[in-house]
Amino acid sequence: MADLKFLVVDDSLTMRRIVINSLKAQGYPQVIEAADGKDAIAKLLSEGAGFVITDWNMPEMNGLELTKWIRLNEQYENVPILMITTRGNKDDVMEAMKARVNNYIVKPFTPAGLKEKIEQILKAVEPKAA
Amino acid sequence: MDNNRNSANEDDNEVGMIKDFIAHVRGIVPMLEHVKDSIAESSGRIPKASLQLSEVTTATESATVEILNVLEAMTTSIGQGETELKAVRTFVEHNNGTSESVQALQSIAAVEKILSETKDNSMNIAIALQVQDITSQQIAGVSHTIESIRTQLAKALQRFDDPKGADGGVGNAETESSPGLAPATHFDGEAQFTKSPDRQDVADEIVKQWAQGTSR
Repeated sequence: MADLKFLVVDDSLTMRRIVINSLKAQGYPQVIEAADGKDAIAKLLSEGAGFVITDWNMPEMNGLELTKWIRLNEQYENVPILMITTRGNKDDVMEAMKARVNNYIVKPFTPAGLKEKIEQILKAVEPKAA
Repeated sequence: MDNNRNSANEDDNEVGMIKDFIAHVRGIVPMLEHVKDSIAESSGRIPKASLQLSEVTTATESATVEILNVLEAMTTSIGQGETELKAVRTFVEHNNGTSESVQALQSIAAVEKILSETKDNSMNIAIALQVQDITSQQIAGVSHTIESIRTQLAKALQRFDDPKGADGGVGNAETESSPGLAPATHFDGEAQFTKSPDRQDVADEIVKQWAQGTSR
């Protein structure tokens, strides 16, 4: 569990800090961060990650576009993706699922909710380092 | 002769009405000028309002990060306290059997509980600070709206000055953005800060259906 490296993507510094602190409190100390989709791709290519947690609305490249990029890329296509976003209407969730995110959290999230979703995803998939 | 007199009276009435109408229209012109000046002054204030809203977001993010820094320091200190306490517990357990050691273990347990609750509370504070991200998106939505209004007002002012200009209509203000204004895709203007689980429940249901293949 401690070996799993997370990539946290959100244009809000506040949100990145909160998610990262939650992950560390849950026993996931290896976390890198990015401020938008483009930055996330650069981090994936240079540092790798076994699990991506991403926001939706971001400049440069949003979370949905990032997800599609990851799924189209053979090297990263099986990396688990958890979307954490303020967008909570049904159409948005459907669109994210069609883009093949593994699960979806509507902000504000709780530590218990984050833990539950991560565990659900890890049970369902075999995370592969990118 | 009576017919001619009646016809002349009607003509006089019509001329009078036309003169009144012209005078009325002339009276409207200064009013329209006043309206135009008011629009110009009001729309001129909007960029400053947008900037002030942006500064609110920057300030609250800065303050929130400071609070998170303090919370992280607290969590680190609590962790150190828990480690020291474990060492004390180990020492006392090695010298167990006396009534003093029993009391000491009880005190240690009580302190461990307090530290654990304090750690949870500091995490809860950190989680509540998500309000900053959510409100910043709401503020971005407001900025976007008032900038759209400014664009519409600017087009209305153009029509005052050039009624037969190339842009005869108000156009689509939604597609235009002022310099420095975040595009609509960069934020969720309908973001909500709520503790109700309803929105997450909706998302969970869709994810569940998707996993089961029923919503494909």
